[in-house]
Amino acid sequence: MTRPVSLSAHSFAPGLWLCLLLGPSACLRPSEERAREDLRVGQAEMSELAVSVAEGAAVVRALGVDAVELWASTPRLRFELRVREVPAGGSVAIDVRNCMPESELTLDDDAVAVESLGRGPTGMCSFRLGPMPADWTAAGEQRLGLRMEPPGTASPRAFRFAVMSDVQEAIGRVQDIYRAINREPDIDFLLGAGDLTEQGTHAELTRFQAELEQLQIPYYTTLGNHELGEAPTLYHSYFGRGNMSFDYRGMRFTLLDSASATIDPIVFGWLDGWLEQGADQLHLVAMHVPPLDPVGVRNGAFANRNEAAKLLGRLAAGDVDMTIYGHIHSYYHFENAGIPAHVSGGGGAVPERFDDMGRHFLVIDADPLAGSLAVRVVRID
Amino acid sequence: MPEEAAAQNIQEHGTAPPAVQPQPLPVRRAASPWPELAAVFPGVIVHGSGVWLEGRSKTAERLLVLEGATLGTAFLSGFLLFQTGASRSFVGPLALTSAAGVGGFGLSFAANLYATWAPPEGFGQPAHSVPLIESQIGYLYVRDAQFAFRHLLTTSVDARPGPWHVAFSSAHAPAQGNQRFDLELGYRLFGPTSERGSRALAATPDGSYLELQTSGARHRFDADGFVSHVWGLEVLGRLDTRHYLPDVHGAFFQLGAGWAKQWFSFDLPGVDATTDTSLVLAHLGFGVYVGNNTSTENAAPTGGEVELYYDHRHDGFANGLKLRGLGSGPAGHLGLRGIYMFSPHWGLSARSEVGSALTIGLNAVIRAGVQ
Repeated sequence: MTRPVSLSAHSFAPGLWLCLLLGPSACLRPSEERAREDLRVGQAEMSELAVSVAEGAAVVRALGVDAVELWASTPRLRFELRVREVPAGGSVAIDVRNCMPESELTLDDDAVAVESLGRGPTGMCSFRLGPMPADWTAAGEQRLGLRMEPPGTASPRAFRFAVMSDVQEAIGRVQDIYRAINREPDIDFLLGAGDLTEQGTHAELTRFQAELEQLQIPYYTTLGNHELGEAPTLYHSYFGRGNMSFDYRGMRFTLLDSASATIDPIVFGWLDGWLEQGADQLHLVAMHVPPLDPVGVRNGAFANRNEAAKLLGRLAAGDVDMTIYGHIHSYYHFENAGIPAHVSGGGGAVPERFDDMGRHFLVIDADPLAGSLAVRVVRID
Repeated sequence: MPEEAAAQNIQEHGTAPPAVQPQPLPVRRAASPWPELAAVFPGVIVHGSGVWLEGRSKTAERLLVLEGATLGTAFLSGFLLFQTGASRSFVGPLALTSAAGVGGFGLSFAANLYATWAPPEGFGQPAHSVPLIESQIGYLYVRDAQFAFRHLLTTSVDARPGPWHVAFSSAHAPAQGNQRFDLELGYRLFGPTSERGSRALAATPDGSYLELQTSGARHRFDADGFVSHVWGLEVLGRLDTRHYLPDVHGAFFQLGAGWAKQWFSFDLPGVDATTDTSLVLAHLGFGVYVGNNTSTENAAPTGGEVELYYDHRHDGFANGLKLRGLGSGPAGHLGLRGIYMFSPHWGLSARSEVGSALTIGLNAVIRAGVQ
């Protein structure tokens, strides 16, 4: 028996008026609430069982006395189960949606057995943990350290991934993009830079998740400004953190929440640590709104250009090898602060005209051992 | 007008002043406070509602035309932006017309309020002269969630020899690693200058002008290891409201449009890069003259002006407004500024802006070469 973890719902108030009415704190840090929500993502507990994601990122979709359901936001996860009362059946079911194919679940010790039930057609990996000794309940809370990842992904090795952003109202046409991605050989996962939906409503987020089932690989993404139409943290209930960093095959990926055309100061603090972790690795940073628009007069970019320069300076000093952005519905390749940058908003949202581009996605060949990244644009239309 | 005074005016101005025709008083359609309330609602939707109730139909008609023109510009710009997908080929002019449309709607609403609420003669009139030199020194508070600096010392010198305009300003927070320098060079195509100010303005004060300006700025952020350089070209202008709304005195529309190039240079360990970008410059403000009234008892008039504005700049201290979701990024900032001279030679100025940062500044003003 499981119950859904409550979805946060906050009334939407147009930012400008909120800013004018409530004073500067409301308009100077519009993404603060989402940054704080990031800290709550991956944590859930009830009197019998608790779960806490410690490495990688995942949102707890449901938690019951004998079952946990996660949505994985990164390929590799480390999390902890705290068993306070052994369930009647003696085991706990662990379902991880959006998991990497061939993912394995391992325990830090051999306290209980782990049975893999495989990856279903909807992209969900299922495991069973148990049987658990009946005397655990009397002994008090038992902590189980778990790691879920495909074998070998902790070691550097060349791999390939795809990038696609800005689907928005084109959700009804995204299937052919997914089919094209499925046809591309050896792609490990799809990376997104936001604007999955038009308004970020329950119905749209649910539809986006349903359509993802046609994709044979997981989709790891951050959010865009179009996810903020209904409630600022509704997205987090579905797809998890907006800001996160993970390691995959020796390459570091950092995703930042720039959906409000800014990075919250809290996140700048996290970023320093992620840049340090990725200093000796290939490091890709992705976010929705680019710090600087390649067409400056449009300013589909940060509201504060000084902040944009501050961020780009940090990324350059942190030896970031590539930046990926969405938000602009075309494809641009340029440099910011000396870092190669790609804007790819080819998921189908109202396209930029007269650019000879249309819907597209990127295929990126990464070789962490050679320190190289090669980008190829795949056109759909 | 007595014949001697008229002859003297012809001698000073070269032309005869327009004959003053007695105007019939408008027939009010509703008594106070209904016009004042109507200026707010339904005035926010139908500009000119308040003055229409006051029987000032011509003013109401012109406010409605202004509202229609600005709304039309905003919707057409939005439509074209949508249809072109904010194409790189068209987005520059469309960003400018979008700002003009949305900002112009705000100006129209402000004029609608002022036309109803203000006394017929306004609260003041334009300054009777433009000083040759104006210098300011003061304090600027900046609250930007992204940066630690808060307190800056500000200075500026503004010289207007004839139609020329040269200005230098600075903002320093030396202990907090932030310095900004601005240099402006302008040429006034028409309007009051230090040379022709008092003579031209004596009989019919008019603050309207048109000026071409080029400017440069250097802004250092030592703690974050980058410097911003901006160079821009801009047309700045002011139109006193009475030129468009003949019975609305003592206020003005302030407008500006242009383009700028911006470069960021990074000075961080292992980073030697420069990134360039560009800016649309647009300024739309509604201002009110305060004081400066000429009277026989007041030989040295005192006064100034207050302006509420939208500025599309995304550099400087205020930058662009941060909105939570849709619309975040392109919007500029809002501001309120004022200056008041307690004598021809000294006064105070203040400015506050809300964008990505909140700024509040206060300066002492010293003028020389005042006619």
